[in-house]
Amino acid sequence: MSLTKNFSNFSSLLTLKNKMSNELNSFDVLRPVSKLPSPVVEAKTPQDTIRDVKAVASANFNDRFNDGVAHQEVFGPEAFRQRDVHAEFVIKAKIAEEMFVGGENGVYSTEAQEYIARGGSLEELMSDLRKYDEGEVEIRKPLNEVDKKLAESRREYVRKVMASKKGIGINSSEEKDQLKKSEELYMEAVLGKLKMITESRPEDAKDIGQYRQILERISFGPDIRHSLEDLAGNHMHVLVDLLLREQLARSMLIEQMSDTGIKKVLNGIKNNSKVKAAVVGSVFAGSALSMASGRLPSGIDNVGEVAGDGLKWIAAYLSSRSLIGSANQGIANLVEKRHFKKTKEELAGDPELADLTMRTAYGYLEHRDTELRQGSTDSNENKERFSNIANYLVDMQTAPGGRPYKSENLFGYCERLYLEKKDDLEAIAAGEDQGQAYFDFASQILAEDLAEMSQDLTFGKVKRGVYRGVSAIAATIGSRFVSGAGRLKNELITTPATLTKDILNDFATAGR
Amino acid sequence: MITSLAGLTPATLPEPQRKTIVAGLTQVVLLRLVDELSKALIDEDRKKVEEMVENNSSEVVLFDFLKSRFPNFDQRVTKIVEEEKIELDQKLQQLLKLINSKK
Repeated sequence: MSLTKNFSNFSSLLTLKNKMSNELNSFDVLRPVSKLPSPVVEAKTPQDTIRDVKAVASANFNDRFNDGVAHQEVFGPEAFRQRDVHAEFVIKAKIAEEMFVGGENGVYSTEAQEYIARGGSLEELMSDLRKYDEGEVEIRKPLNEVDKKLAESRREYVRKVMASKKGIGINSSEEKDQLKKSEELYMEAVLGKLKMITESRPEDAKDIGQYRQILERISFGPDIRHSLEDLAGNHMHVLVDLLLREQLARSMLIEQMSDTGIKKVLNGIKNNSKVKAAVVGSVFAGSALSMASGRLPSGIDNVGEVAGDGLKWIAAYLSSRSLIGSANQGIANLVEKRHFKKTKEELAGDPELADLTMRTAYGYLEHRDTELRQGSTDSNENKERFSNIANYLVDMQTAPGGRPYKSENLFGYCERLYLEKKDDLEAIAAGEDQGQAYFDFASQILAEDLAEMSQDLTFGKVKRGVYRGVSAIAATIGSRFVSGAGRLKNELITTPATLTKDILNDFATAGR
Repeated sequence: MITSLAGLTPATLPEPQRKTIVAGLTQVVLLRLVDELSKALIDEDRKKVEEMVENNSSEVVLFDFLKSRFPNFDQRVTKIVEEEKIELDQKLQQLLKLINSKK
């Protein structure tokens, strides 16, 4: 309707125009705007909180190998307590979700029913969930400043190294400097932790996960002299323990930050109880992955069936070795290195070296009173004693502090200490400022560790390429294992993916 | 029912374990080979392998490249296979010892 033609509305329009003019005139257009209004931050909806808590608590529950490894929290009562806290919040989030919608088709889960029966309310649940979401629920005991700095710098360093290997964001010289800086900060934090241990009072031993008797013998001073044996059983024991934990923590961070499909397959084996049961049978304890440590199964009762089960175990052992080997990004080899067999022979062949190795592995306290943990003049006996270290570490996993790493990795350090750098250690023992020499030595070993880690990651793409190339002869290799006794036509598997599928088919469907 | 592991080799293992064990051994050999060859490549060759991966080169192309760089390729494979056979035999012997100790 044309406004100009409708004279009956004209007066209304005029009124409106005047009204608008009055309003405009009353608005002080020259008044300065003092500040922009604050953006409106919308409060999270309950559904958002539930969703976020469920995701974070699930991740935390599953992610037991995060920084917890280096903080000695992976195994043992404290680790389980922390996991229980996260599990509790996963369940609370699920119950809250159900209560919001009135259950699934009107039916509540058992947990929800029990919660409601106890008088629990949705309001109470949401209050708890919000606290968790905002980080107000104490999960782990607060880290001291040294450990906090170590955890943060480790994560930052690994993140930067991973980004550089992927070619993300590390191009300019400024970014390269930042990577270098993060490495320096991390190294500083590790050495800071080592210093904290050596300067701790014996009465604080439990708080820092060390033995009192070692702290009594580890400090440096103008009137204190440490022999090579003292260094091995105390200082090297502590150093190797710390570096192994850091190595493990970095490896786990790398794995977290990696994205390989095979990881999902491995998790499928780890978490699928049906597959686990089929692979290991009810006779054995532990999963195929734990068998990758090379431990023989225990608890065998029925000898008649052992051989069959034993072969299954070996099959699982080999499969898990190959799966683990190829699962890490770019097939970087983060599993035990096989050349330590030769290392052990060399160390076992010399009574002094064997003894130093066992001092480092067991520490002063566990070494001193037990002949079977000391070096002997018989190299076969020493090799036998070395093999006990693996069992000891397994037993120690649930002790306070724990020893979450493998004995093979420990031998890797002993190789460097006693076959490659024994002169350096003797120089520390003979030197004037043993403390400074010790920390310089520690810094050198750590720098080598980081260089090796970086090299392993660099190799990722190269290894993928080499793996693709050598896969061309997989059939030939397989036939060499069975030459002279039939062929393996169409039976050979060349990729981890198909190998996994085969394992799952073989064991999951065949049962025990 | 298998009552003894004595004398068992990869060739004479019973199914279905035989297939999986041989496949597992094959993978382990391949991975050891990968580790060895990757470390032995010179920088220039490593870059070439990276380029080939980026260009999605086939396994045959990559294999031919590796063979050209490692004239002793076959000897390396043979050595690793023999070592793994010994390792498997040791595992079988360990298991046999354990079985006998339970009798």
